[in-house]
Amino acid sequence: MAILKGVLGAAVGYALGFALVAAVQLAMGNPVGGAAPVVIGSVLATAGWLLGVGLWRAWAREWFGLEPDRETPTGPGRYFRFTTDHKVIGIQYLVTFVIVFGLAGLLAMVVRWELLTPAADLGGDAYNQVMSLHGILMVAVAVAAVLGGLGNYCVPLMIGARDMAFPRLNALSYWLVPPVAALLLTAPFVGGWDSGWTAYPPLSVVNGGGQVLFVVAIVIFGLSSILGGLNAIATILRMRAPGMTLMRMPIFVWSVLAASIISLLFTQFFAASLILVLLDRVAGTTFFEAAGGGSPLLYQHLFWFYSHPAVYVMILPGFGITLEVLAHFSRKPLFAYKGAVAGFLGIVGLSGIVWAHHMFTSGMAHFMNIPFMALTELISIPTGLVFLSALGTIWRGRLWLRTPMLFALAVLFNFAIGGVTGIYLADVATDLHLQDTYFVVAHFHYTIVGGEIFALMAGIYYWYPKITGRMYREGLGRLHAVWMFLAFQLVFLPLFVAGIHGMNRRINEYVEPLQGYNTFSSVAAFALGAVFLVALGNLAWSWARGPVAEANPWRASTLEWTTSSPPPLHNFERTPEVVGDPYPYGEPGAAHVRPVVVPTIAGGSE
Amino acid sequence: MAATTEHLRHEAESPAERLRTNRLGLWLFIASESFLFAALISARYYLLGTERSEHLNQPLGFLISLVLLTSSLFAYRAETAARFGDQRGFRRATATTIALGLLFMVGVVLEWREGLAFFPPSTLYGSAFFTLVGFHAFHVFTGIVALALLLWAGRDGRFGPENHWPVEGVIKYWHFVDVAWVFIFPTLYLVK
Amino acid sequence: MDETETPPNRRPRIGREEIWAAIVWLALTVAGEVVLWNVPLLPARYADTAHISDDAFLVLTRLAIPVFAFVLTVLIVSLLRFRSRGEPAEDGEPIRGTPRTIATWLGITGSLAVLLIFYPGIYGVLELQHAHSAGTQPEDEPLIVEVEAARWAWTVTYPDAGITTGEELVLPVDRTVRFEVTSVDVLHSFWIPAFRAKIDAVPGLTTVTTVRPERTGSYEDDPALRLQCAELCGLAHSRMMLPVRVVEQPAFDAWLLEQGAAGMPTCEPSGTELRIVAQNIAFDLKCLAVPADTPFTIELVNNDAGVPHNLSIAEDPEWTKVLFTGETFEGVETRVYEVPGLPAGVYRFRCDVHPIPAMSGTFVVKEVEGS
Repeated sequence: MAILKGVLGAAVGYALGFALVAAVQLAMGNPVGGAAPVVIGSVLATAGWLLGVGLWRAWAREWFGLEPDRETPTGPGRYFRFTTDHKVIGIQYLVTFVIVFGLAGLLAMVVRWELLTPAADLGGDAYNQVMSLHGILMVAVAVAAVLGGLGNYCVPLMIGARDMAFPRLNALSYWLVPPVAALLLTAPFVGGWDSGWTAYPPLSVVNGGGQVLFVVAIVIFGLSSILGGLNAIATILRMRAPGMTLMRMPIFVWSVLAASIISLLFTQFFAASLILVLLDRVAGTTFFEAAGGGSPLLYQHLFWFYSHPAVYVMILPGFGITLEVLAHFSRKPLFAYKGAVAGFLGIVGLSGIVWAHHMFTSGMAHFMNIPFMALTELISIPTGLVFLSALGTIWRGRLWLRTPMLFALAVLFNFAIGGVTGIYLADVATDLHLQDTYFVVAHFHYTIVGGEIFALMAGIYYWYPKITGRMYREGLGRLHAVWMFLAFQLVFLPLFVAGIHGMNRRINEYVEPLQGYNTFSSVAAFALGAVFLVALGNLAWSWARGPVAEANPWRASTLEWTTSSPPPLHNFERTPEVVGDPYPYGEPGAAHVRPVVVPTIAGGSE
Repeated sequence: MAATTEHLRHEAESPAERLRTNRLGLWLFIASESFLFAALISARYYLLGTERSEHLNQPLGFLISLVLLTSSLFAYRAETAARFGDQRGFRRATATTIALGLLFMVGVVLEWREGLAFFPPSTLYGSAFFTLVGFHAFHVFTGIVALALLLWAGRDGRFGPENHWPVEGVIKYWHFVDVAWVFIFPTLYLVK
Repeated sequence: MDETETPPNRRPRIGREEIWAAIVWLALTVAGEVVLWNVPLLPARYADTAHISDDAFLVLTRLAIPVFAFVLTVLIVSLLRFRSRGEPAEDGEPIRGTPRTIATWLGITGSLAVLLIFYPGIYGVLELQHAHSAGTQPEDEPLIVEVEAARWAWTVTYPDAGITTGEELVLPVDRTVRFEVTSVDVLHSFWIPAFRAKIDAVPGLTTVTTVRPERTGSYEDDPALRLQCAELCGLAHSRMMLPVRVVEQPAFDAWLLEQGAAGMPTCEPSGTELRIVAQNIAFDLKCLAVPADTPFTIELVNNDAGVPHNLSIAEDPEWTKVLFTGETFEGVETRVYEVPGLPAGVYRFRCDVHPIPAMSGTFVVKEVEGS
């Protein structure tokens, strides 16, 4: 089985890498061991894993002049090997990230359990590790689940293509993800790391050995992100069906394009900043060490230069799904479509020049405060265009309040709070108090969870019939939406107040007066955690036993609904021809795609 | 029963379209990698301004730059040869490019040995120097491996006017690695 | 079939729903502002910088309310007036929005953004700069307080008075205080919630924040009066805290004097088996004493899990004339040091890993009858 071959490949690769470095260490007369052999071992292990799981069979052989295996496997086994079908890869991403989300969610439950009371239940190190792992796993989910899962599955269908531009690269991007998870989940057991997902030096240079595996994991994850972004851009620019101009693309496709531009370019800074940490640890460099002339602030600049745009990688596809669902479930054209597109592109443009708003209290030169504050506050303008589009779409629509729509509406509520609270952090005077407090925690949970994850839920329920060929149970879906929405508010609203009242981040003990907010939030958090069990049950059970879904249960207008549920291997029996706007609602005679007419026996055509 | 992907290809894209898509992919990749070097170069300027070590071996630096630039010339010849089906020309030019690339790597090793004595990684300039040169050398190394694979895979004459994308792709990557050095070299050796 | 890209748009009309929306929006906005007026959101203010921060906070909130109310209004009115029972039988109206709509919206949102950039934005920054540069006036000499962050405790030094303490931060009211902050190991952050002052402690840098306390108070009365580390620094980050006390000038002067006089605590020898406990990065004793020229043991009980401590004895505060260095070990563990006899004198002891006041003290070696 491919997975077994992958594990074998990983073992061989690790041994090879380790031995190689150990040999060099011996030859140089240095002590054998430490971080260097582990790093090279892990890198070669990843290569071995990839080759074993099918990269060699399906692709790398070609580089040596050998014939690669071009067959696309069928049957359930194809989900467990290197398969180039974007629909398979989309499902692989979705399932993998549901599992990662579940793990990270359990860790969140541990965090909230610890914070039920002011006193410490866990040791400081244990808590820091739990919190750090929760953070990085969730960041990975947020960056890759929507793009890798729904982006991969739906974009080729929505543009009338047969697959992504680079199907083998697509599979590679996915199969890089399990090593990332393996490394992150191993790190706590080999010394652990306690520096959060942000891994600031000097702490990340002097702390436990798990930090090393963290760095390797991030570099690999970055590669997956970059290649995925590359593929999406090439696909969207080059593989659209005839007649689909850029301005006739569904808005979700625009959001994927925008997010992919950021992902392609800025992710390199994430890897670079962490590799420099590794070099400081292992190679004696002095990038971030004050004693050697280095600067901890340099790391923050490099890190946030990626990590701020990264949050737009997270939310842009969320906005895309939200606008998509709002249009179809209001039975209305997307309002101010051009404005929404301009909003996405404006966000992309501004995203790269605002990073230092994370550093107002860092000791950086004061003259940088005003420019970064101003540029950050300007992002509210393109974001406002997205809201214009959303609100204008539902206004005077015919709102069909099915589960996807409930989640999409929730996104608007949540992100309004999330976005507005961001202004408090962009304003320097208020940020001096709120930076590094639970106000920040509540803000980013409102934007990322309240915005992106709620949108992910909308997308999962919306495209569920297309992907699985079955329909989920609507009652349970609505229950999920309402319960998740209410519990979510109860968890995070008190945390804004806790932050204002002086609760800082990343602590497991706090002063007594903060207990009320925390206990309340924790109890609500357990309720929030529970809803995912219900949702998972509904989705899993319905996949196996739900009623068979038709091609277009929502009577939606975009291309993915013109083919069967699930689509055939090649997506469309005939390449569709696009003739109009993707949301031709309310206009009799308007259409997005030229209807396919089955010729009659008498030889007449149209 | 397995389904083949052949049908995915002939109805979807003509060879010309496929070539354009491949080219776009390569440019996107190069755009991304330039951000990586931008990160390292900006780290150098952040930490050191335009200071550099007194002890750089400028002649050696100049020499290896020349070697790399020359290798790009041969790389270009290799690509042109493949495009016109000149197999011998392709093989010779590719082999020469590889040789020059290896020469560059040797030069880098020599630079490093000198560098370790005067500005080891534990110094600020050394940190910037070894990291920038190291990342670049890693890219040169991957380029050499790719060129070697081209030579190996192409030994049966398969790269020609109808099928030269692999050559074009690798050579363009090689040019990118060269251009990156055009930025890195002044950053480390020339600015004052 | 018509192939035009954008079908003709309808002019925006003011219907019943639009009027309802305006009413709901007004109502929600007023309700929100009333709540804001009456419900105190912010903790108590103890300094000038707190006013600047809180004023900005309130301005932002006053503007946030109508913005959020707008979104809420559209959601509520839409849910009430436009929802369909089951699958909609017909489509909604094909309203796509005109360039004028977008331009108007951009005008409003753009103006709001620009307003915020200037006020409270730039205005707030300038006010803070002004507050921080206070103390350049000759009649307002700032009190300099040097703050050193180390894992995991704060050490505060009043250089003019020559006082260093790790027990509490005491400040005089109505006087500009200039904190000069640095770290000896990893990043920490100097934060006093009651002052709304925060600046990172960076190794290799001295960062500065200036505050003018304007009310007296203490941590016991108001936990916002504490110096809390606000940047994750590892194991005991949650506990890295120092109580703050703001007192009248005379009381402050008296406290300084007291700290100075405290100097070296003394104690008497009582046997040759010493026992000292290290917990929460502090020793439980500030003074140890043994008879002169007699070997003795020190039982060091390290109760800080995972944290290394030791005990060493030296003649001078610079620790250049070291008499004894016990081995460093991590807690939770107890070890017994065997120390050869020392000549009579008054020395110092400390933990070498954490050479802070809380882990330092006096080591008295005294001639004792019959030894």
